Amino acid sequence: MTAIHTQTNDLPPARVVACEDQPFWDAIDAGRLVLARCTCGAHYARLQACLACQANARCMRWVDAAGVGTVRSFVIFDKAYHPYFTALLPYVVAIVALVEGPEIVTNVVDAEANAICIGMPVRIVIAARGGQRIHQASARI
Amino acid sequence: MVGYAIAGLGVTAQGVLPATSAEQLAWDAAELAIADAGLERRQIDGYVFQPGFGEATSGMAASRAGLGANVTLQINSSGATGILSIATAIGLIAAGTADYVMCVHATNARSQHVTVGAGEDNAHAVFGLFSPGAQSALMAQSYFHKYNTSSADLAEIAVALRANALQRPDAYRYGCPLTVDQHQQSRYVVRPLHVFDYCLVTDGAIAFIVTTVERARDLRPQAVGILGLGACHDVGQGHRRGTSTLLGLPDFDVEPAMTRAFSAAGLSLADIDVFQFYDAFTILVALQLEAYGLCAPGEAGSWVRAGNFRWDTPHPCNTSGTLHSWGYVQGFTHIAEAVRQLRGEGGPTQVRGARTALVTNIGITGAGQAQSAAILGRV
Repeated sequence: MTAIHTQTNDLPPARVVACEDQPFWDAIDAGRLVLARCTCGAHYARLQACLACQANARCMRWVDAAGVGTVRSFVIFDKAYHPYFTALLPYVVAIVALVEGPEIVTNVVDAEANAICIGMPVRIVIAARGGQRIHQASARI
Repeated sequence: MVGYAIAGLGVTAQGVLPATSAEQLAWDAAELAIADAGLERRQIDGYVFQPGFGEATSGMAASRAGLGANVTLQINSSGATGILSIATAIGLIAAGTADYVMCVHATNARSQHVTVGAGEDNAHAVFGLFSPGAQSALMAQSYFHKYNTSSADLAEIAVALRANALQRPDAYRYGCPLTVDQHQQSRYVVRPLHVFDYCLVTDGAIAFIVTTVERARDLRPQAVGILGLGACHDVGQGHRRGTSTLLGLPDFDVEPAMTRAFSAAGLSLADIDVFQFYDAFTILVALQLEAYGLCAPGEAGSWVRAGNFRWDTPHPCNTSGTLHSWGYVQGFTHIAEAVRQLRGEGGPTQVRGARTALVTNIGITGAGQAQSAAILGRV
């Protein structure tokens, strides 16, 4: 795990990438959301032993995700606890359940914070955040 | 499993203690615990400590305080560490490495102006998700949605915690009343959690001494037996249930901690006289009241509103005001208050005739949520 940037107004916190998850972030950089797919068909957002068949994560392949899901829970920040986010206030962080099964943490965009609710359908989009790319959940589907 | 006991307790002042190192606070608590137990300092032959937020302790207090420690051990499972330090102490004694193990946590986070959990070196920081508070806010939002409850339900818990502290001159928030309206009108830290859903960050330390019941009975005052212990962690539970997401976010579950603690003690919920639930955030208290079976799912707020939880009700909980209103020594806070209650040293909030106590600890760690539970009782 590495966190390269120091805290400045210009830069967001760095992506924290375990080396096994590098293909996930390489795909984000290429504009795609991928998931790890086990030979048994189960999908995961991070590498772990397969919960369905107990296979080692070495059996998994990174495959394209449909990029759609629903909001499982969310919080709204009215105050920035890191200077980068001041310009984004108020911003929303959600747990999104993807149609393939895995849950991911991301921001919800393209909606007023007060309009977001649990169960709301979202579509994954790739966006710039400082000098890096991240996935976000757009309420515009 | 009555074989071990808590034989001595040391609690320093809590609050704003400037120009005092965490190591000094640990030393102060250690001396108080030794005097309380009636032991010689060199008889303390084991030392287990949780490093704190702010200036982390290094165990140096064991040397400064002149302990005869043959083993010093740093352990950390965040807020779940207090009860796990009891389990560790028992392990050291059972293994024959020590007879009297001191467990200590000290922090000067208040005076060091520590912003707990504000680091950006976690996987969610790039999305602007920081701190255990924000993770608890995610749990609260789910709780409101699932049971059609609201922030006003959590306010009931905050007010009841404060009501207990208002009876206790040793509480940091003594003399600071809180109403549901004040809670509801207070600022949000992370929506949907208000500032009064959050615990304190204060300076202070707690130490206690674990030994065998046999040895404890030779000491004073009243020995407090360790009747049952249990623990669980999101990681294990997620994999057993096939729900692990590796998000590193809390997926609240007390089941193995609760079941093992009660089973070892041979007791059920109805046998417990006083409860000390981990209260870093009010939502954690709501979820525990329901998970431990004091009330039905979704009914924590109305259960408190109906006349439970305060020290003078049929189900006395968090009798000092604990993390929310007494002081922030993480999981050690709840153990100390349980020991005081079982000795009859609860002062103005003493639960008459209390013989058994349930204590819970919760740690929101990088790997998810750790829970631990202890049942203590007079022996």
